[in-house]
Amino acid sequence: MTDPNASLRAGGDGDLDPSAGQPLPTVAELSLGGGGQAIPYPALALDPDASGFWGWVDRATERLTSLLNPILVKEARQSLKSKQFLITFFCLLAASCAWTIMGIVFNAPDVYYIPTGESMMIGYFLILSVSMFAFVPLVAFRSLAAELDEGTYEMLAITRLSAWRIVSGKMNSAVLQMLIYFSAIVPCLAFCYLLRGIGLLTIILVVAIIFITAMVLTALALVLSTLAKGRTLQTFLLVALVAFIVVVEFTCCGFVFSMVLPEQWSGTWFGFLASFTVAASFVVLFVAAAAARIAPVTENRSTRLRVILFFQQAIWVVTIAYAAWVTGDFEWINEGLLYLGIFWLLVGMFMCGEASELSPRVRRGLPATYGTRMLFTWWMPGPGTGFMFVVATGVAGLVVLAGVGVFGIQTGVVRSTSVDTPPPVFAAMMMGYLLGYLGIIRLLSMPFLKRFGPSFVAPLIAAIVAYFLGVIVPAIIDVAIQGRVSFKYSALHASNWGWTWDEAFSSQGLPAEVAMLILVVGSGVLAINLISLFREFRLRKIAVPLRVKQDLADESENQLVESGSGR
Amino acid sequence: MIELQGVTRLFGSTRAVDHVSFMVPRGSVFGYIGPNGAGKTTSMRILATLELPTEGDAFIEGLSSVNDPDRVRRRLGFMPDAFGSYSDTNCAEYLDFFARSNGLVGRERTRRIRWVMDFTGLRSMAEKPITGLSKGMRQRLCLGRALIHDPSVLILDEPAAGLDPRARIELRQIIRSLAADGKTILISSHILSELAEMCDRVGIIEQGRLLANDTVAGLKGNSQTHLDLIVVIDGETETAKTILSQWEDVSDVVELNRTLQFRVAGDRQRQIEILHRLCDARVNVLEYRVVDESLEDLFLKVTAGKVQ
Repeated sequence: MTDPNASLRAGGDGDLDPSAGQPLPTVAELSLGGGGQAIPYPALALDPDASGFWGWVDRATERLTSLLNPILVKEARQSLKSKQFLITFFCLLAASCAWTIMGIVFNAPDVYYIPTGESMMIGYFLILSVSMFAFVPLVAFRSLAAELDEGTYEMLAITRLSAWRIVSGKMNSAVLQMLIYFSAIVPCLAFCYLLRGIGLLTIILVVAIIFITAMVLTALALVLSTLAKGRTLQTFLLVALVAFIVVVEFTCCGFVFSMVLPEQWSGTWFGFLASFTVAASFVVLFVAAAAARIAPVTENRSTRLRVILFFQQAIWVVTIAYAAWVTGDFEWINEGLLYLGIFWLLVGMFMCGEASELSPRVRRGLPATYGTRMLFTWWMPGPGTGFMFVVATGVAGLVVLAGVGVFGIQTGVVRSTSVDTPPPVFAAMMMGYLLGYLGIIRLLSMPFLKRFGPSFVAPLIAAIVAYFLGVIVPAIIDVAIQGRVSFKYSALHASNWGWTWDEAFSSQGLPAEVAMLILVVGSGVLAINLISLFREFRLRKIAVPLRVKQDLADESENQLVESGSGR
Repeated sequence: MIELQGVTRLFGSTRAVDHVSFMVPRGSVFGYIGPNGAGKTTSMRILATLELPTEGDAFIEGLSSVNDPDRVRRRLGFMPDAFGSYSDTNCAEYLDFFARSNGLVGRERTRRIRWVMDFTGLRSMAEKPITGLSKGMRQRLCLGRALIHDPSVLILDEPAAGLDPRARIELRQIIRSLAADGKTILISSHILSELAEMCDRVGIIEQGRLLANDTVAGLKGNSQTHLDLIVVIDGETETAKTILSQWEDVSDVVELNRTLQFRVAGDRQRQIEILHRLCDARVNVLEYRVVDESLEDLFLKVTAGKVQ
């Protein structure tokens, strides 16, 4: 560290600075434009030196804030000073007060003896949800997008902050804003409880629904902001986000007003807990995805995401198994299989667009032995490894969930109540679609990825084309053979995913032979893909360079010395 | 120490940087010159761990920016050419944020913020919002940000842009002093006269290729095939012109107000011989000097036609 008080003569000889011809001033003496020595330092540049209790509090607070994520500290400072925050907070307060007064006036004099808490809660829910769903995600979107647009992200990227800490700092500051908004409405919620007609647990549940939904939306906004390169795409994504928020707001209102507030839900607390866990896993996934998007090219951007996806699948399987057990209906299993398959198709599409180049740093972390390579190569970055990860994990998840269904049926815990497609048949159909469509998406997008480099656009377009052709081709064949579109489902329509799913959930169920046909075709597409995957599987771990080893050794030695001196 | 070893960076089929190698020893200042799009910023971004080289490697204090980017970043202060600002943030908060981001805590953080504020002359601006700062003030703040964690290596992309002449002179002194303090500095600038006065060595890059890497004096020596001389004469100039016309390797004689400027396609010895001849012919020479080549001239000379 440069000692600011040190008198460091710059070389001592004047010839270093031909313009001056005199010895250089010291670093400490120099300043650009005078320095303003008579002006006092700002508070941020002063050590807390007060004595007594408040001095201790000052120092403790200073130590505490040093532990916090710097992004959270910065964003909190920015947010609390911004006009947007002040206006939103004031509007929220004003709306809460207005709703409270209106509620009392319109319910008077019944408010003294009739429980009106539930009707009052509707207004508070709307006020809080609009503030949290609309403003917080949009502020988060703008905050990260501006960071990337204005070049400040690159300045952060070369500090000690990892991409994960940067994005999680943004998320934390959004949560802080939510808490501040929530604090404004807490007295109203207490008032609502005192009016009777609504239980404390229901109020907590409503608040939890608002919080978790706002967090998912905020995390989604962060991912979208990293996709937005250029003003046009940014505006488009912002509009899409706003539209999605509106849909979520209405859906959430419908759920809360029709089920939660009247306390008419049929689920259990475990069910809510499982739903919140799934939602929370999406928050983590989106934050990790946003971090991966902005991480420097030298970093491993994929493994963390794949681990999260793996755990998400586990949470999903447990949740669906629980729901099937509670309701005794294997439609839950089939719905679980459907959404699991769609989830992996979507994730797989994005993974096909990953960069195939690995930095030496990432290659140092590749599995080395034959056994570890067999098990862990799929967790490493790359489009091919990503494809295999999705296929292997997705198929495993579908098999496990179908197995749970079979076990439930055999033990009598689960029985069909509405559909007649057994879970193994449904799982075979979903596996076939996963292998087939994802394989086709990969094959279609590969030439474009080679030509234009890694991007999610090519797999996205390939997916749209593949799904469209899957629907339209059987109809064209129908017209060619019969002269008209057939309305009777047959094996010919196996590529029409929408019709097949509809058939699978119908009372007659999906024929097993159609599911097998889909699985066989899907396996064939997988076989074609495997041929082009060999290159990525040959990736070899590289040795840690000597300089890095030496530096690591020096660093651990320094840490030992520091911890020794600390004691 | 900064080192580039055969660094190549391809963007599609474009070679932004093409097998560039150079080394900047500890405590010295290296000027990086090149026209727009020559590959300066890409090389700097590779050193700053913001880009991966397609080939080769870049080292900061012996650490590879490819293999060991985390440790490289701790030793590096990077000042990009564009300064991104934060809304609703003042200078003190900005510096405090970057101090925190670089892992500075407690007294060390406040001490560094005070030092940077004094060093960059921003103490009087501490409570001012960044968005209200002038371009020059922003450059100071950006330099302060790069210095906040006391890095041993500084990479400065166009640091003098937007500074007033006085601040430029001060910046020059500051950079020399930082180098004398042991910091290694890589600096790019379009104001080549600035670089000539503050750099120990200069690298000239064009279309991704490093065309020259030497001291300014060395570059002059290497590129010099002729001398441009000026003679100021007290009295009439005809005799002098006649004498000069007798030399075969003297050309381009131009007269202006008793001043003759001409080009000699020879070395220093020929310069001395001409002066002797003029004096022998009793020409009253008031002034006799070589026109010094500026870095701009050298830059144009080195880059002209070298890369096709």
